[in-house]
Amino acid sequence: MKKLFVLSLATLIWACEPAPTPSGPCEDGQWATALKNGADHCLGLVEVTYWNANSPSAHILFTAGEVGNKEIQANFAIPAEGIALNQDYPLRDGTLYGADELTSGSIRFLVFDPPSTGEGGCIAGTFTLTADGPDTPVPFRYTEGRFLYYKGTTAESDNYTDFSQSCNPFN
Amino acid sequence: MTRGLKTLFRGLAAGGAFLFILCGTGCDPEEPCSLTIYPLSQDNLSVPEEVFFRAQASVRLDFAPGDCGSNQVDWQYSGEAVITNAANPWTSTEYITSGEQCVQIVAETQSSDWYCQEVTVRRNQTWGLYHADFPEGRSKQSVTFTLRGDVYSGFGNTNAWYRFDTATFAWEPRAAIPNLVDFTAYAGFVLGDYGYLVGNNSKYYRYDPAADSWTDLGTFPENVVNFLELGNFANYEEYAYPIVGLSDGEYGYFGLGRNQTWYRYDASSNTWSPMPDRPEDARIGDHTFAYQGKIYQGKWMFDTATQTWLRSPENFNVDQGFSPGFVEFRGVMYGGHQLVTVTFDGDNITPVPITQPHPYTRIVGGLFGHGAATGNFIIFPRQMGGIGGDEASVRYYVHQ
Repeated sequence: MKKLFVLSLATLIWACEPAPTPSGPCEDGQWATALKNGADHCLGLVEVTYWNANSPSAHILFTAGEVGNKEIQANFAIPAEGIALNQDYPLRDGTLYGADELTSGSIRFLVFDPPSTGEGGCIAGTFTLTADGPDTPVPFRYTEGRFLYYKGTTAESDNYTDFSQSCNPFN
Repeated sequence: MTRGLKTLFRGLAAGGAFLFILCGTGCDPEEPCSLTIYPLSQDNLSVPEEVFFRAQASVRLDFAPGDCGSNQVDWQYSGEAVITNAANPWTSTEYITSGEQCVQIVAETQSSDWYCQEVTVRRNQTWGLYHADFPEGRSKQSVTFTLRGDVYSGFGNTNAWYRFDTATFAWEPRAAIPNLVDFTAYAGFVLGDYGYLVGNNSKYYRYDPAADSWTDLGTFPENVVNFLELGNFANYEEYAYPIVGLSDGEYGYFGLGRNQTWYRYDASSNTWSPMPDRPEDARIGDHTFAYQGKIYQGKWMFDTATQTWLRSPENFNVDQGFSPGFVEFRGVMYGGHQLVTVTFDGDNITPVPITQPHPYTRIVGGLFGHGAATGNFIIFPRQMGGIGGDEASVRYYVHQ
């Protein structure tokens, strides 16, 4: 049985300005790969969001995996001074599949040009992550991780591939 | 249905035009106000084109308000959906059937066109993560089984018990075991029309779903805290070793975990019998299930007919790519391996052919625990991570 519903919503200002607003977009994720316990592993879509930039609580939220099934959700601490290229930033906290706690790791940016309103952008880099514990039979170790997250200003059908190629530092 | 929506769309749009013509107070008919500062187009609407069954998706309409007075947004969906938070339908619409999502801006004197986009809801061979967690929060271990056609789940670290409603995806509270304090129960099983579980108080109980009541059946042969080695943990909540709680044929089984001993329960005589020791301790991440006279746990299997432990044809551990568990579904043992839905026939793991590819056929990885099936669903509430982390999520497989 199908239903049809109509809702009248209150004034629309909040629709334009959802809060809180991350420093970059949280969509159009691209890809991440790593060696997971030594084996090639594709992590699927990646999203990189810069939260609370230039504040003591600044951090990067890095997620990788399918919609509704994120394998990695990791927060990396960023100094208030901002992000520098080719520098490791330590893991703050995170989980694998929302269950196992990530215990160590870091992220390094090779390109950090976050998208902003009306403009495209590119964030790319490397990462390592480990989930371990006192009773852990086999820790999960992600090594040689690489990721590419970009967002174009044109429709995906327009030069989608070209944009990713120009943004990709691993080519 | 689409035709019906379009009819409504024209009617509402005409209504907006009618209001505009009548505008005589509060605005100047010679200089009509602007509904938005910038012209609206289809690009202003962001709607997920494809979602999994019961996904809670986000809808966005980006615009800058003009000078036509206070604005509101009308919202239509031609398919079946549930809004779980009426104050914010933009992010709380749970899609059940495919349809057309439409949005329109309405001010005092004007309204915009309707902007619409089709939403395809995937419900065949689909894995989903439900937006609402299990009511009792996180637990590494809990009791989950199918009883008289319904999925029940609960206990773990709390004395709370629920039945899953597949129509609403809600967990309906059922009777707790009365007069218990600091009770934990990490495994249970079904025999006939009743459910059974063993608690940390070394008592075991029977659940009657018809009466929604629990009966104290007596005392387990061993002190359960010592038997499972729960006492080796500062708090029981950290216990991540897979405890056997399942039935095969006319018997139920309970035990193992961080131990090699376990028992068989005979409901006809209300007695427990020790089973041959498992050759080695179970490992965190081992999947446990029964199928066709065998009880599988990690790389071992127990033949209930010969009462012997043998090497399993597969090492059913998370670190071998098995996730989130194995459940008998429509007469076949369903599970996941390397992010693909598979069946297990007792000898071989076989990928399930995908009849209509879509993004949500990919199975969740990295988890283990108990699941149960009912109708078109397999439900996995509160799994553990491959190294024993806990979570409160409800994951499901739907095929209809």
